[in-house]
Amino acid sequence: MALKKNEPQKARKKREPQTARRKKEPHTLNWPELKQRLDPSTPWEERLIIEPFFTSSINDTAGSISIDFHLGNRFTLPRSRRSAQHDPLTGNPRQDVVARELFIPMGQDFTLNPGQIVLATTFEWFRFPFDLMALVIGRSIWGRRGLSIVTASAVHPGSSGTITLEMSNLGEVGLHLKPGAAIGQLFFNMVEPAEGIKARRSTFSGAHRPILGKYSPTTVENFLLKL
Amino acid sequence: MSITPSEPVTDSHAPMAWTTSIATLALEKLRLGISIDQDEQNRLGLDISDDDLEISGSELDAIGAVAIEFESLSDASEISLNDLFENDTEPVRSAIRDSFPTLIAIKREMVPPLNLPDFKQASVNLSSIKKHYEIAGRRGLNPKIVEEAQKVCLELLDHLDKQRPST
Amino acid sequence: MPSSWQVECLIARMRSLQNDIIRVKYKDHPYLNEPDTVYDALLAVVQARLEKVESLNKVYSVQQKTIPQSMFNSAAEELERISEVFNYADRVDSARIPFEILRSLSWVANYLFKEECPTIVRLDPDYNYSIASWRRIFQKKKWQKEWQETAGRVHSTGQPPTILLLGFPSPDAGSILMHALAAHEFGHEFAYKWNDEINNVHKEIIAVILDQYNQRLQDYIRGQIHTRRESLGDVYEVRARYVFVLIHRIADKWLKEIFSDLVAARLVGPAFLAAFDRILLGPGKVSDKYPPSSLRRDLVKQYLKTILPAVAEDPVWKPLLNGSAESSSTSDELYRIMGEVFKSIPDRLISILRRVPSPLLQINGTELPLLISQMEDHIENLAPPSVPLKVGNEIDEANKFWLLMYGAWHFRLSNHFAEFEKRYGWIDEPGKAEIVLGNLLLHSLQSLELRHQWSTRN
Repeated sequence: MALKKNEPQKARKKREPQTARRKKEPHTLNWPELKQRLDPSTPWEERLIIEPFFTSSINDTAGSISIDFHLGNRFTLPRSRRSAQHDPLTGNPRQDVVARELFIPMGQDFTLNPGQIVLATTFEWFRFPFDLMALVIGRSIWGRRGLSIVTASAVHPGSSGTITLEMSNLGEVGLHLKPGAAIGQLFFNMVEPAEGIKARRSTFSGAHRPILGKYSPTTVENFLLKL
Repeated sequence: MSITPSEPVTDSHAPMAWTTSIATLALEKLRLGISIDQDEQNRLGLDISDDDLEISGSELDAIGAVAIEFESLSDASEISLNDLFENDTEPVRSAIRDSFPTLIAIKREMVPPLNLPDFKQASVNLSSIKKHYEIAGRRGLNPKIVEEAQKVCLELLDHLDKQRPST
Repeated sequence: MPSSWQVECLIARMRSLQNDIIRVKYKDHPYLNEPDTVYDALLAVVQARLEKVESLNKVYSVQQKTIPQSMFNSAAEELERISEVFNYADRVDSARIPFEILRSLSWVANYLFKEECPTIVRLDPDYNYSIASWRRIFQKKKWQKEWQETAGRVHSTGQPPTILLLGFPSPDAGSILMHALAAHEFGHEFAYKWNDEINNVHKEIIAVILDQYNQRLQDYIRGQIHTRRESLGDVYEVRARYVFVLIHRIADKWLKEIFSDLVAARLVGPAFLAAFDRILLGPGKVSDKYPPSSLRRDLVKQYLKTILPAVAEDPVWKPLLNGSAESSSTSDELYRIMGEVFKSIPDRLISILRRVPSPLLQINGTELPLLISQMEDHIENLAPPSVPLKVGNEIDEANKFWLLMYGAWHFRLSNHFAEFEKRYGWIDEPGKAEIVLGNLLLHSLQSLELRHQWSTRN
């Protein structure tokens, strides 16, 4: 559009370089940004690792980028035992929920029965920098068959290891799950890293199997539970 | 093969002992079949049939294997100490060398003078028994040869039995 | 003489063992291409022995004769031998076993030996690490007939795969670093394949002993005789033959152990010594089957300094290579003679060893430190060290398995490890850092194999 005479030119708002924008504004990553994060030359403060990484796992549709993750080989099943206390709050492993871990080799099935819950892991190892997190979304093709990934739906910045998936069969028939099945997707979001967070990572850092984890009550909990 | 030393559980003579046991069983069947015919068995009320006394393929193989072992033992016993320890003589064949532990096991249990069983003859006997049976069954088999062969087998078994690690 | 009751007990135990084998065969298990062959072959062995014992019982009891004690003992011993092997085959399904490693180990074995090698696992109660092929286990027990018949029935279309049995110490089932010892175990498979060449070296050793140590041998034999018997000559004769057999047996066993150690040195370098020291604390025992550990360590060090001088100069490995281990002293003159003869063994094995592909030799000298540095960088940042090992380049893909082992141990022994512990706050959690290192290594080994499969199929 031609400028009217004598109208002062509006100063163009200077567009900040992408890097600066990336550093400052939390947002969902697009493919070039994700590619940059995966690049071996990216410094570790920003580096994302996915191993093994198959480029055909990338879903680039309608401007949003996600990466498929696949089911790993290890499954942990809560099971009943003789003393059915299942009381994690005691902090006593003998009174906590008992779980049995299974290894299912590639090519074999694991059957998740209706109403059953199981902990599994991703096949891939993910290493997140402190300014990146991901949303875990189950694939609808499985969801429509009753499989629900009820996991904590976000992977924290700084996480490292395979991601534990809490899955449940909400359907009426058993589901055959196979290690290697594309079970969900990750959508990556940039976040502002908190001040002072350095190398310390979570209890589950570096894990490659689904761990039940030990219940550690917070100070407030301790107070309230003893009332 | 484990990387660090671990104690062996069972005796190294065990395979030979088992093979010899099977051969001895086969010889006992032959002896029974030859010495008492079917009519005699019926008369004595022995609950054993011709099928029970049939020598199986594995039993014949055992007779053959023991025949070969007896031949090796015989050859091994004929090798002089000089031949063993002189570097410039031909190395001892591995089949004969493998029989040495058995030979030593026998000799260790013997009171000197060390008169070994006649392995050579026993080997010949066993080979001829096997051959005969393959052609004509037990009919016409010389019972004396069967008994002599069995005697040597039992002698060997006794020696090997004494080598067994005690529990 | 065994009573009929004792014979009945023997038969009952054999039947009970059969039932247990069947139960284990049909147990839920963590393997895909599962070798039922092993169980079927074991069942065939038990059945054959059971038939013989029943036949023995019938033939002797019908004549109201007792079975000779030696025959009964022989049958009882067979039962013990089968039970021993059944223990190896008892399916373990413990979550603490890193089953993930089996695929990559089979892949590496496939690459090295050019045949399919599915692998199954056992937990060793004796704190030992072993890999053996089931076919060889059955051969050693003289059960090859049952193995051939069963394997032939199951795999009628071709050569049955070699089923490997991987055994590692139960208390350390989760230790991934320990699998550097697989390199030594594969050395035994090479020794089996190259039996003729190894036998030639064996003959050379015997020739040296008889030529240069004859007098000492004679003195040794005489020194072993502690009895005054009438015919001293007979006793001497038995003792001399026994020593003859011993020399051959010791030479054969020690040669294979040392050959396997040197194969391991080629595949995984000083990481083998690190893993070896971890499993065998202290000097260890000398025996007919195993040379003194100090000799084994010295020969590996000597060989490494010859073929990989740059690696030997790496400051991380220097304490391992230059430290002198406590010597496994022995008062047995025969072992001392063998020890002296075996000092020159690497030279005799050089031409055979060259046939073993070595990733540390395949990679360019200046590239190795760079690659290790990249791998350690990844570990420090909790990323699998397989990431910098791209598909392609001059190293054969399966050989990268050994590079990962090398890299992981290099990290473990370097001062990066203490920094790693500190960085993630694991100083107060003893062992945690090594567990995480093991997880990274395990995941890397698994990813390496899968990436290779992906690249060959796409």
